Amino acid sequence: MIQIKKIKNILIFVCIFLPLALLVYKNQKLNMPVIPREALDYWQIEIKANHKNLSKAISALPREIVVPVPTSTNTQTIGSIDFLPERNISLLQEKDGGPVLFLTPDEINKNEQTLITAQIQLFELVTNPENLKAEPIDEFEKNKYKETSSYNPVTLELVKKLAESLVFESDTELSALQKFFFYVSDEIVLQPNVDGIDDVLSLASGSLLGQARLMTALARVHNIPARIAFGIQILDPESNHKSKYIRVFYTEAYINNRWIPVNPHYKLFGQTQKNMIVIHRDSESYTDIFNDRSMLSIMIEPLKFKSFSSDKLVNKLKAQSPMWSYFSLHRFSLSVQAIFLGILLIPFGTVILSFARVFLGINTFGIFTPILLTLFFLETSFVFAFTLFFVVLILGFAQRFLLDRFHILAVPRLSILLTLTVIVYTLYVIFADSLGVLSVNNQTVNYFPIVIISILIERFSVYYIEEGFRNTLKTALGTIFVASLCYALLSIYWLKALIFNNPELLLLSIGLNLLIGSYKGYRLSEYFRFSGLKETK
Amino acid sequence: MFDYLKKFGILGNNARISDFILPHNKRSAYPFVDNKILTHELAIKNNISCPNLYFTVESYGELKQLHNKFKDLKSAVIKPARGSQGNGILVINEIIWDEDPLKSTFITSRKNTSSYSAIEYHVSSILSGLYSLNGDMDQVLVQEKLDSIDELKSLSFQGLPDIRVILFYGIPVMAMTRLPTKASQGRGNLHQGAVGLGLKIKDGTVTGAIQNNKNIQNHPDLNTSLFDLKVPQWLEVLNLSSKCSDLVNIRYLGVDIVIDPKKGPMLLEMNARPGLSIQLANKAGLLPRLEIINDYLKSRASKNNKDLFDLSLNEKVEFGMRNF
Repeated sequence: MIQIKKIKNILIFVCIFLPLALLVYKNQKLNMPVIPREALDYWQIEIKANHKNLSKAISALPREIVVPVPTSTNTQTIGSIDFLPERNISLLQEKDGGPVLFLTPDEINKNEQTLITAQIQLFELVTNPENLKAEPIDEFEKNKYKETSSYNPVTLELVKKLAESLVFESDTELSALQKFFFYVSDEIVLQPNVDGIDDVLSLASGSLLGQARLMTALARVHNIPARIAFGIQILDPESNHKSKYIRVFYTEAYINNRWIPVNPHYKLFGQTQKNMIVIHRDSESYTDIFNDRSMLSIMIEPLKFKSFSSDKLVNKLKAQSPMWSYFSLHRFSLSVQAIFLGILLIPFGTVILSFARVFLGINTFGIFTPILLTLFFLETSFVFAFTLFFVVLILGFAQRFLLDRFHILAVPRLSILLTLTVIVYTLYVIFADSLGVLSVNNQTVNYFPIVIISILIERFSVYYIEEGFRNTLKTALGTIFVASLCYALLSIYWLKALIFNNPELLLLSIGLNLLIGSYKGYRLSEYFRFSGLKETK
Repeated sequence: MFDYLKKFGILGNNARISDFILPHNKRSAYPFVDNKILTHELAIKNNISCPNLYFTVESYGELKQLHNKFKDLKSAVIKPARGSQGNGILVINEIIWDEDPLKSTFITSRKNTSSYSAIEYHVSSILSGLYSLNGDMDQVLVQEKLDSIDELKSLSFQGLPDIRVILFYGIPVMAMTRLPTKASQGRGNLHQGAVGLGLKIKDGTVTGAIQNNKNIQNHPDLNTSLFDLKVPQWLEVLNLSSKCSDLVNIRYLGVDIVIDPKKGPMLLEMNARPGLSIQLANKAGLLPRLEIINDYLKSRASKNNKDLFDLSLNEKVEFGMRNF
């Protein structure tokens, strides 16, 4: 007996510390990254030009219509890029600020929209202006970027005076630029919709665009070539689904053959913000289009597991350790990787499930239903799966009332229930699609939900017969609670990446489950269950 | 936080499974308690009184002849062989036979009249596994309908009150009687709202009363006091329960017993995973009692160099009555 206990303890120790030790070993000795950076910063950006709204805008002011095409810079690399309607990349107009797509009136009338989809990898930021990549331009262009003729003469006068008051004779171009930068970042408060230079100066506040315009004008009157760049700042880089972002305008000033990004509001000189995607770097003439959601809508989504750059990564890992890279799951295609990710997460779901059962005393339908439900959540979206779960639950209750009266045998009855579920599921997806709640693709819509729901429904109907309405509802809530708990934990991005990149961590699940399974103390639910005893004695 | 549970020596679910069910109950013996047909056969073989088994239904094919099997019966109980917690049990109080047996009326315990086809449907639901422990195909028992002695019947709202005895190595450890209520719809399930009365092993008097895990004084439907009860034929009840535990290789066992006015205590069913609410009804924890037995058996074994399990029936029951 004592022997067996010893063996168990050794097993627990090994299962918990071996994978952790391996992790440290791989990281420290073999220099293999715990989570490869390549896995982190992949994004898919969708830029959609709405032709109807664009043509309304041009009819008011005849001019050229462009859609910006993101390009590689020193903070980002463009992977693939697709156009809808299709276009040949070589036919794009190459401008200094990056390629743009010119839309002819014909094209605008023919199609409803133009869609550009690009995959982008973001890099660590450059911190020192001297480290920026040199981008030589000719005199003609330099002059173009110094041009102040487009400014209103009164405004120009104001800006000139301001610039003169800020800069000394001895200042270099760089130190002058820095002074302008400090002035704007210290004196101008962020104020949305204040976009004009006059307004920014008189109100001492302005939008990102207003601040960028003032900054650019200050540089130009001091004879420094400058332009306005446009990008988007991802606000929730850890999110799994559609990311939130804001549109950012900032200034790029040309000094010593380098374009120096200057963003006074974010107090960034010589660098851009973290998680920023640069979309176009010479946007002055198009700010109205770029800044208007109705004309140019942008969607950004993390690619993460969908797009580990497998070959590159596997080669890199091989160089570090051929043995360990043999076990790397990056060898597989992206879709296989996504499936493996789900499979690898299941054991960690069981840890939470065990915890909820053994320590908290929460009952669930079946043992593994909550985990399947979690995968459903992860695979589609939380709201989608959550509502579907309750719709199915209501269906389950309703069928008991109806089908029970017809005296239908059990298996056909469950089959009818499954059919109803498929009908509800189909309708649900159609509604969700038409309302734009769910992006419908074969990631969100596949066989998985139906498999889960059929298991759930069977457990559910048995439970209902055996335990009655109240207990069934309680168990349903328990199931959804445990699933939500798993979901919350497993949507932590680095945790997923950690497990995917280090599958040996699966041993940890065995160790933790052994540990949890050895707990003989009370469950939290028992504290309440036996509370009637508190009154006695 | 769990201080009060520790003070009472409450046996929690985790400890119940890992310290008692897993080490003391042989998995191979489970079919004898989980399958009521096997339990019945075992009881008959060992002269343990239990309700008559009229017939069993083991396949769908037998459904066609079901009405012939029911013929001549005045009342009956339909049970799934592998149901748990009284699920799927249908009590037929009276059968009013028509010339066409298919048009006969069955009066069930919930005072509902059911048609023959409803009965047939229920039997087929059981066969399909609707009520069985893990949803597998099941078999059906049709048994004699038992009655209860007035002492317990007067405390019940319809249904059949029974007595649950928990035994450890055949020694009665704790007991309670389960009284059906309106809320439990005549069933004896504590978590469906039946009343649980804790019973002293010593003499069958009441130690506490609960409904839905809360202490009560009177029966919720009948408003009669619950604390005046002293279960008659108490020694016979304990003897029967201890005898049952000898039949199966299950050391931690729950035995459900009904006291029939004519036939006396009868085995209803056995349970290899008896629940924990009995502690609440008794206002006492199982742990100290189980430890007393453990210590006693150990000291006996070391003294006499005898097997742990060699106590006589009388010794076991006496030990329980003396200590608990």
